[in-house]
Amino acid sequence: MTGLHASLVTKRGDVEIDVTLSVPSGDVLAVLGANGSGKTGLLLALAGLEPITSGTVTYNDRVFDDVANHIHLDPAERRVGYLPQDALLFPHLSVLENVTFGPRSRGVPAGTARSQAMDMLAAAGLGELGDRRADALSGGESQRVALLRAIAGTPDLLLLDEPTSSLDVHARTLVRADLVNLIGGFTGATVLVTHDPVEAMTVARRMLVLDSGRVAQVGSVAEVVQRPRTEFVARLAGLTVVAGTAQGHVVDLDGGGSLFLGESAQGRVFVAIPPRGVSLHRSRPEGSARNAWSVRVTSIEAVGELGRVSLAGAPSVVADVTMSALAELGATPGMQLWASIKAAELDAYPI
Amino acid sequence: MRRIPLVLLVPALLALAFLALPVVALLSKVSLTELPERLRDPLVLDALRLSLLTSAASTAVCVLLGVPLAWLMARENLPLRRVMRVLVVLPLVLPPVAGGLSLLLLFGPDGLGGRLLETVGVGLPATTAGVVVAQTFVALPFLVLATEGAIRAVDPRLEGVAASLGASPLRVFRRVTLPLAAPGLAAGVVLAWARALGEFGATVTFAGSVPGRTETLPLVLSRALKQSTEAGITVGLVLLLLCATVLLLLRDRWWTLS
Repeated sequence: MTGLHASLVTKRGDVEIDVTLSVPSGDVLAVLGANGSGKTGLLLALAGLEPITSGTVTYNDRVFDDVANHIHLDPAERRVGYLPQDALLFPHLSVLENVTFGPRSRGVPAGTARSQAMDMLAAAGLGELGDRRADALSGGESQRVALLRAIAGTPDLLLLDEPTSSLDVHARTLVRADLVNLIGGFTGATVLVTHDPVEAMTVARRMLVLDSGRVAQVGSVAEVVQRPRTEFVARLAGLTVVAGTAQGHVVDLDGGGSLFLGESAQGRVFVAIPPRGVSLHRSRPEGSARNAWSVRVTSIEAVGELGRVSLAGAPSVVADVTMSALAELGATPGMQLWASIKAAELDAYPI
Repeated sequence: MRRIPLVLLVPALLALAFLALPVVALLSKVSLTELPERLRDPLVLDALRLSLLTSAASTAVCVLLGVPLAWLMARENLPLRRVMRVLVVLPLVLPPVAGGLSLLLLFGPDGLGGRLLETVGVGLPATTAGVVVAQTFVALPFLVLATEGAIRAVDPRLEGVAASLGASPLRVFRRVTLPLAAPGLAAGVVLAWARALGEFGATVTFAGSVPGRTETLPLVLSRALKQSTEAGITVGLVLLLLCATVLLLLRDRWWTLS
């Protein structure tokens, strides 16, 4: 089988990372997870920069790690393009020298490496930065150069650690465009660590969610975002997800309360509650909505043109309502309201 | 301007005076009329040449041996690293005469190292090479400690990135670690050189005091003082001027430990 195959256990701080994953050549796997879930540790292990305590890592027919057979390939031998979280350009070298570092280390003659690097910089619109010292760049420029540096050595495997997380909105757009360009033309496997579901959707087809070092969920990006299995992804996807036990159209929630489903289900389920589907009322709503329960407003914030209202109740949910609706309700933190949602808006999926 | 607290200012000025006044005392005793003649004294000139030669050589040896040791101590999780640290610091604490004695016991005619060297026809005591050995022994800790600190301050993640880009460990060291640690290394070089230049006790004990061969400026100074204070003043002045010139020529960022 081609591509990256890893089944590994490694330690990062107090977190034991125990992950199995596969990425075919030419494919991108997005790795999401909260801080401390082991995303960076996973990349370091794949890059060979941190030892694994058991398992194997292979790329095509090359064995990177095989603990049982005492095989550990040096990072330098793996042909990996590793982009660390905060660029980490070599501050004492020029931009051009940073980009040629990989090719030069792999024996490409100076002249060839130089002209290739200049072409890459020019193609990215960074041509005039070549002679600049790397520590004189802005955050966005650093990240874009670091991306070129990672890919200049023609790696088999790209490992990208949150390439846009430390950037402002403008720089983020530029770096993301570079990402899409570079990954689009890349024939090897890519692992992209991110905490931005939009970024994951733009470049990746598949997504893996890490939680405390374990794989909490893996699947297509759409699947993971629509049916999250972790609090972390649910929040990123802007969904409220509650667990419960279903019997037909009724789910008894673990945290108290119950919900009516549009489609029947059986056994342990997650129920995803989209914030836009939640309506708020001053008194118990009349009519078709079968799901109505009493809630207390805990906080209100603006999200775009909508007001995001966090509500405590059974279940606790988040509601996105229009500003005019918010004004009409006169909602303030601490206020008692009624929440309702149509059964058809709820999505239940097995735990 | 910000007000400097007196509690800090007064001791600071005292410290400065404490360092400056002895220099002033020395300078004030220099007789300008006799100075040119005394400076032409072949004994002084020979000692100056020998001091420059040996301190440069021992500094070079310190760099060649000390930088790898500093790297090892900073980057590798070696067993016995506590013991290593004690060994490195020992020459700083040990009275130089005791250091010279230890060197003599090792490299002298009856020592294990001495007999080994004898088989290849090398004898260290009473030779210029012996002076370099004695100076290296006392100066090496300065270079190792300064360089180790500088290497520790290099972000190890940069080395990881370099390795993942295909650089061998040696290339990582040459192209990333060493250039980034260069300011600290430079400070170590200056400190080691200064220590080698001023070295007396270990040299006199191990290499002896042979004019033109092992008698460096500090040794000449000691001998001159036994004759007359005036003679000593000249040699002291030469040492002082030499150090001041070198330190001023190297801009201070080269030898500030920060």
